[in-house]
Amino acid sequence: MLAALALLALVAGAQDPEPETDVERYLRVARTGSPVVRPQAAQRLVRLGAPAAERIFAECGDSPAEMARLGMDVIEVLGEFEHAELRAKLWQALDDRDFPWRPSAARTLAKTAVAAEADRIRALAGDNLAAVRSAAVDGFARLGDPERRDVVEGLLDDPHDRVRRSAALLLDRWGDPCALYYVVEDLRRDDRFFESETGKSARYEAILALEKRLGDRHGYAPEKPPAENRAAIDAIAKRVGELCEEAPALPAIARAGGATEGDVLGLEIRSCRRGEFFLRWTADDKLRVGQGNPATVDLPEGTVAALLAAALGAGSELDETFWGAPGCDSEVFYVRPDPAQRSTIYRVSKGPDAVEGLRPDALGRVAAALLASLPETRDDPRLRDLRARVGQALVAVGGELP
Amino acid sequence: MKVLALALCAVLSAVAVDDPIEVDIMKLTKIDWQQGKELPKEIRDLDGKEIIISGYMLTQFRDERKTIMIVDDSCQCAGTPAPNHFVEVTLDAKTEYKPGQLTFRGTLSVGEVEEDGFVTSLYRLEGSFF
Repeated sequence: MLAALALLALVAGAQDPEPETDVERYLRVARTGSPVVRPQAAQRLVRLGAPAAERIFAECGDSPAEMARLGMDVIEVLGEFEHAELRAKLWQALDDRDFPWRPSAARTLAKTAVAAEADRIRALAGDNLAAVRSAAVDGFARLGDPERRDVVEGLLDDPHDRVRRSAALLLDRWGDPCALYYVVEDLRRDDRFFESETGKSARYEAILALEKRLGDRHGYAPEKPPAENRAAIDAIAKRVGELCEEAPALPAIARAGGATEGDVLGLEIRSCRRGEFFLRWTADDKLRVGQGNPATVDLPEGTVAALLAAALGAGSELDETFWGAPGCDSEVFYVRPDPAQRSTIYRVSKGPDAVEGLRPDALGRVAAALLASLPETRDDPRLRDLRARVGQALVAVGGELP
Repeated sequence: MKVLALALCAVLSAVAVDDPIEVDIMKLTKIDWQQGKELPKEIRDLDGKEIIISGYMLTQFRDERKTIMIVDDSCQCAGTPAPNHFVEVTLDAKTEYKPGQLTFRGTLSVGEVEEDGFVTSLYRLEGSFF
């Protein structure tokens, strides 16, 4: 009899399920939906206002690690809720260097910054993650406080081109059109990182920004190399020259470096906690660090030949090229003994949680050898404490090195 | 009559072997896009055209599948992709995840596709590896 009643209750329950509220639905989609709809669902949560904020707040838990479970796309919009406790938790998460969604937290806090947060925004400008430094510029723009001009000017020397462009565009908005020359310079870029057309990407972003500012592309075609865009670049530079009498002398880090040759080994690390590194070793024993106009370090003769032999030996032990799962931490090894050929690419990737034994031993030995070839430190910001920083990033992504 | 037939054949074969347009994926992805906002004319003009395009497979999907997403960046670390940041490619056969830059040939379709109120794609390509 009891069993029959239980079955009846079960059937009744199945026939009359509790309808999912909009808050629950959008929260579910923002966390676990297809990647392309997650940000859109998160925006719908913002439109729902206080009920969504309360529901999300209840999910935040007591620590940044628990809050991280909300996922990147929910974190990306949290600053838009008018919810003081949620905002305090978000700042707390951003202060935690191990919080995996720090760029998202920084962006949403910066875009909605209030005057009382000015010092915290200022501190973001010195962060180890380029995306967080870029968010600081958004924060300065929001606060509209030219007293921070010196900090923004300092970001014109940033190792990351997006940070430099954001800083230049903000300085222009604040009445310094000479900063636009930093953006114009990106129109001249033709650099690559192995097969990645990093220069072309910068050209597209630069012309998009300049077209908005100047109202015209002057025939500039970002898909074409700078040599085919000379007249357009001259015309754009002339327009900027009408706004700024004396062009500033750009630091080497911001100058267009053009194409480089002879790269045979590469290591690209993108860690959501430890930052981004773009390292290349050339056949003639040079180390290049960074994109655009990279910093160059001379290595002892024979260094790269030994590294390349080690990488090729390791490659012969590997029958896969991808380890782990897609996520915000990745290290990518490029091996290209003949610079005229395409690279062989080995990728190690993971989400926010540590994964034991992720990097195969053979690749671990290559990583350790590459790391040992790096200078410990130099004055150039890209080379400062380079070996230590790269070592920490490798450990954060693929785990301890042999 | 024979001359006419030959001429017709020549015209038809010229149409059939029309070279596909090489499209730089960044031309599609590096735009300011907002839902409902009209796309630039040079992009709208590509709708229905046979194109060749190169990009990187989105790492989010590792299982074998016929429909993949390609992006302009090898890392894809800047967050989840907005609809203008990828081309949805439907292949003639299933593929596993492939690292590195890949090239595809097929017919491009341009415009917002919505499912359940969300924009799920802006650019779609039906074709194959090139």
